[in-house]
Amino acid sequence: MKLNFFSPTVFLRWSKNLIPVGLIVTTVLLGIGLYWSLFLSPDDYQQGSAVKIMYVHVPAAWFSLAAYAVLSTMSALHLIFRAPMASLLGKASAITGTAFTAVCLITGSLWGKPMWGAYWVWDARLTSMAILFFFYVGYLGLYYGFDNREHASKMASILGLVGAFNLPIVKWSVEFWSTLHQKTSFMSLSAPSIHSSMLTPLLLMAAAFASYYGTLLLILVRRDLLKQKHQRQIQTDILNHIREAA
Amino acid sequence: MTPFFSGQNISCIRSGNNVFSSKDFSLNKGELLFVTGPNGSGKSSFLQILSGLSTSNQGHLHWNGLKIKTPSQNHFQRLHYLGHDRALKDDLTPFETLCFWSNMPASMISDTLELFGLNNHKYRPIKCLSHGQKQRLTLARLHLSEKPLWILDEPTTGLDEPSFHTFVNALNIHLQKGGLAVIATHAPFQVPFPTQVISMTGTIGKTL
Amino acid sequence: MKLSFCAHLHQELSLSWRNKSSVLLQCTFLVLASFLFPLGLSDLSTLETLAVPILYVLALMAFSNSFPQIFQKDFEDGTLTQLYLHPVSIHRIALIKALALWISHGLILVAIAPFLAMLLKIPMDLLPLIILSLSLSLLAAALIGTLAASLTLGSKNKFFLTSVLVFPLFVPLIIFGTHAPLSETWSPFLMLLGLFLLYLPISIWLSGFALREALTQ
Repeated sequence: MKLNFFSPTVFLRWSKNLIPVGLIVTTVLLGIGLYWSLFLSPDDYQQGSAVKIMYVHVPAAWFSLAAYAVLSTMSALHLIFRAPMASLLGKASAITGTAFTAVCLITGSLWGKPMWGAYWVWDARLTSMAILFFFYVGYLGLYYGFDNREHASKMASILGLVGAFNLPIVKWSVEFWSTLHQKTSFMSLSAPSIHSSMLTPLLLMAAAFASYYGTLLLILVRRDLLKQKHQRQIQTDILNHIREAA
Repeated sequence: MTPFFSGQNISCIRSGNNVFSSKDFSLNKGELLFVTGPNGSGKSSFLQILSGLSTSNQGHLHWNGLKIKTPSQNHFQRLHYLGHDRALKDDLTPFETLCFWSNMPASMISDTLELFGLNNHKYRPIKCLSHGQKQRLTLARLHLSEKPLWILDEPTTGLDEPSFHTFVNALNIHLQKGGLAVIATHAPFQVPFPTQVISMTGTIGKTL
Repeated sequence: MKLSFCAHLHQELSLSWRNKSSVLLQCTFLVLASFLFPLGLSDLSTLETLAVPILYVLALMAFSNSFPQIFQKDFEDGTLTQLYLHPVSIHRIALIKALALWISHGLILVAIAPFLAMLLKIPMDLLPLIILSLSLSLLAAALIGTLAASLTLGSKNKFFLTSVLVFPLFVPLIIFGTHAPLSETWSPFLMLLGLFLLYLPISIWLSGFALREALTQ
């Protein structure tokens, strides 16, 4: 059943106009958000200014999970409806998701040093993020692991589908595991009890990340579609050339 | 008379390359179709489409008047496909291999092995067999399968003169019983049954 | 000319029996690692706390060594195509491979577990629970491995890819599997059983789909 979902021509037409808008919005939001979080928001009484890493760490975590949800949905759509745009959107989500997860892990590591004196802490969130990172690497590894692109995208979509079931299980089992050895110190890199003065910059940064994610999706999918179009054009040119020469 | 097994406008596009296009054929019971052409011309791809392993980019296959939708378990049930890979396990013996693939009684299996000159190697692991002997074993397996449609990709490579005759005899018996056969080969041979030839021209870029 | 489930399974197991190299490799790895760990510790009293997780992780890693090759040989020599065309349901092919893998490779590991428990100084009264949870974990792991192998069939960098795919799926198995012998309740065992029951239909269904795609590309 072929669903006319996101036809490539419509997408190319819209993305041409939306991408510059997205870039401007992202820059503006990121600028305001960073300024607010770094200079206008208060220090935490316990953690000092190190808490400000949270303004990057937490939205990165949110959007790595959001990208993952989009990836799973696109994988399902790709397998059920055979829509090629779905697999391109899934791959773009995977690339951005990997970046967000990496940012989350690195900022988490940098936050851990001033908090507990260690660059890595085995708490539930960081561990789940690390596993999610492996999942993204596996998805991209499958996507780029075959010469036949169509086959590769199908295999990657199957993994995306498996991940939809599996990641909640992994998250839950990691949380169970972390309760086993949380004796005295409550190690958690979740945001401290949110005061409104901290909420606004957090939401601003979240909006900036959302805009960044959306714009990046548009850019990456557009690039893939144009590349496909270009390759098809080259092949038609070769065939015409052979036909003329014959 | 409607042909028993036929295909219209069969075409194959691989990685953007037009391997072949607009091939038609029709085969009746007791008939043989040779598929010829140079190496790389798409003979194997054509046979794979006929067996339902791949799907034709255009056109359809019909069996006994009904359109075949790939992949189709019904279609698989009536055909025996012999690819380039001989599907033999080195650690098993010819006897075990034939027992596994065909539910025939042991006596029949022994008879078939004798027919194809493998009696002395019945219980030796396949890794000890020569190339020609392995080929004969694949043909023995073909002989034991009671499927009406044979789709064979270069079945006679590596066969010596006596084995070649054994194979042709087995093919004749199959055709006489009303079976159909599609054989890809560089060298078509004579059989006392209606024969057709399809040639894969082998030029990439021929118009669709 | 139907191929029965038992005959098919019997063939898989016969092939494993006649070519024992991968089974021997994984058992050797496990035994050597169990010798090397205590040799690496300066304070052997810590071995008691580490023993059960070490056994588990090593067993699962040894088991996963054979994953990339599950379908490879059959795919290369045309047997997979012939089975598919026989016709044997592609899902049954996946199921039999997973089952044969568990029997030939997994249960062997469980069989040498008592010897390893002795080396790693695991208390003997934990042994029945360890055997039970290890068997269950390896059963789920066999399903995971079959899925990973079917997804990576025909790919480049197969070993790297299979390991990366399998790792997130192994995490709950490790967590519940190591917790099971040491817990007072049956709930981790029930979790393992639940995981197996969840992975069974998903793995077999998706493996069949992936295998069919690989055969018909």
